[in-house]
Parts: sequence; C-alpha cells; structure tokens
Amino acid sequence: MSCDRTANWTAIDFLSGTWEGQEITNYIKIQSYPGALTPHSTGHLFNRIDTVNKTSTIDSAGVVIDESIFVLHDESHLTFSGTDQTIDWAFDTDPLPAGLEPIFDSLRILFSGEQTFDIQLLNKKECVLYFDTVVPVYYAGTVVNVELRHTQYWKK
Amino acid sequence: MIIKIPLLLCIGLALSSCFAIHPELQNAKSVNKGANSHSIGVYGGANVLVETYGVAGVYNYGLTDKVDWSTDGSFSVQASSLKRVFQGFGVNQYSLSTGPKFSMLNDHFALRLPATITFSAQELFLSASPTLLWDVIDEKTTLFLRYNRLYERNAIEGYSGDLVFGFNYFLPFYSNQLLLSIQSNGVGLYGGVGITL
Repeated sequence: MSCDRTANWTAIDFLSGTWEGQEITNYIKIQSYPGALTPHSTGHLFNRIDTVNKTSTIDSAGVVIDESIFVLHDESHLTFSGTDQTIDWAFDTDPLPAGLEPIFDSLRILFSGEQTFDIQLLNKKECVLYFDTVVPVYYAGTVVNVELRHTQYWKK
Repeated sequence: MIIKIPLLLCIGLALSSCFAIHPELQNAKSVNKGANSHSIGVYGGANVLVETYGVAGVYNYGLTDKVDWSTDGSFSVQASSLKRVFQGFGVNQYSLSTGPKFSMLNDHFALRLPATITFSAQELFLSASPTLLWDVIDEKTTLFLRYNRLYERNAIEGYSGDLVFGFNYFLPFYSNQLLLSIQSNGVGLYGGVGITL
C-alpha cells in the first residue's frame, strides 16, 4: 500500500476501502442558545466503502448494523441514503436527557433520508465528512428550530 | 403550551452548561486610584458532554480607591479531548466582560457588574455577569459566585443563564502571586492556574 501512487487519484479512489471510525461530533443548537457539543468515539465501527456498487456498510464488532448507498457528486460532495439505523451510530443519545426525544425523532427522519455531506478532508489515510442543517422539531403544535452540525472522522 | 414548557426546560438544562466556565483570577480587593493590576491563567475541565480547555485574563484599573474598572476575557475550546482540540474538531468560544467592581467591607468583599459578550459557533450572546467576590482566610482564598444572565429572551423559557461558583487559592510562594482556581456550574468541574501581576 505504501507504494501506491495517489497523484492521479480522485475522491472515488480515496473513498474505496475499509475505514475505521474515530469520532463523531454532533453540535446541537436551539434558537439563540449556546450549543451543546456531543462527541462520541466510533472506534468500534468499520465503514466498508464499495465504490463499484456505491454502498457503505457499517460494521460493529463483526456485525453489520447499517447499510446505505451513496452518490459522489464531485470531489467535495457526497450524498448518503441512510436507514432507520443510521442515527443509532451517528448520534449518541446516552448523555442527553430523555426529554430531548422529540429532537431525536426529528433527527431520525433526517438521518434516514438523503443527506449530502461536505468532504472536508479526504486522503489515503483520513476522511472527514460534515453537514449542517436546521431541523424543525415539532412539539405541542409549535416548532423549535434545532441546528445540527455533524462531523464524522474516519481513518484507514 | 403546558406540555411544551417542561420539554423546553429540559432542553435548557441539557444545554445550560455550554458557556465556557472561566476562572475569576482576582480577589475582592480593589487597586488604588490610578493603579492597575492584571492576571492571566489557563484552565480546563469537563462536564458530562465535553472537555473544555482555555486561557483567561483579567485587567483592573482603579477609578477610585474602592471602585475598579474590571475587564476580563477568555478563549476556550470544547472538544472530546485535548488531542481533538489540536486536530480542529473543537468548538471555539470567546468572551469579554467589562464593568465596575465595587470593593467594600475593608476590601474583603466585592461586587462586579460587568456586561459580557460571548461569541460561540458564529453567534453573539449578550449577557450581564454580576459576580460576588469574598476574600477569606487572610486573603489567601477568594470565594466567588457569578451569574451569567443572558440578555436576549428566546424560545426556551427554562433557560436564562449559568450560575458559577468557585474559589481561588493564592499559593504561598512566589509572593503569593500564583493562584489555583476551581469552579463549577453544577454540571461540570473546571480548574486552572494563574498568575497575578
């Protein structure tokens, strides 16, 4: 591997292979309030990117926990079509109180839909994916806008 | 609406620890009229969500023998670890407070009334930060209580600011200019060291 010439590689070449999770940070912020950064380790996860079939398979300790397809738009934008399971590994709800469940319900819809990521860093060894969005959280007939800034850090 | 308030209160409590909790780096005693003092320090700590690392400083100018104009600033980064801070995965926060500091009861007690501006995640927050300082144990220790009250009302009725309490202990060497500071907002615990000049 160390002899691979990467000078002519494009994003699809770099993406291909098995990535080891490092950390995911979710920064949640609610209308004029200071935000909460909720980082969690993803060291137990492996993401196998099959660039031929355009699939992403998330593996935890040998068990496949999520599969999605992706579209690489250009060298810096990537869209994943997530599943209902995506939020379970992409957002750590453990340290947050159960009262935030309406937010998680809205986020689950977001993560199981099509989500376009910015490729902030992609080379032979590291990959950083990012998106931010405002999620309307519906509760008791009103809407609270929750901003989410999501960063995934993977290594080979 | 009745159901909404507990939810929003819950959200507010969950996020209420997210302002950086910087040390006070000073005691209750005021400087003489026309004189000044300043301190700098580094601090760090953690709450249930993240770790915080930062630097802070304070500058006092004596308006009278009992009233100072007190200004402090801090820069901090929140992240899962110091390593992640240096990798650029943290959230930066800047704050600047300025306002009068009134010393009383033979300089054993002081009240600061600063206005504070905080910049975090591309948003500005305005607040008032009334702070009580109380020197005890022959001025070797300063207890402090600071309430950072957000100026702007917003969607979450249950959250209006952070209450921070802590103490400085002036270490008995280097002319008592080195200090150890411990503070908490009830959710996280933070500590630092500083030097007064």
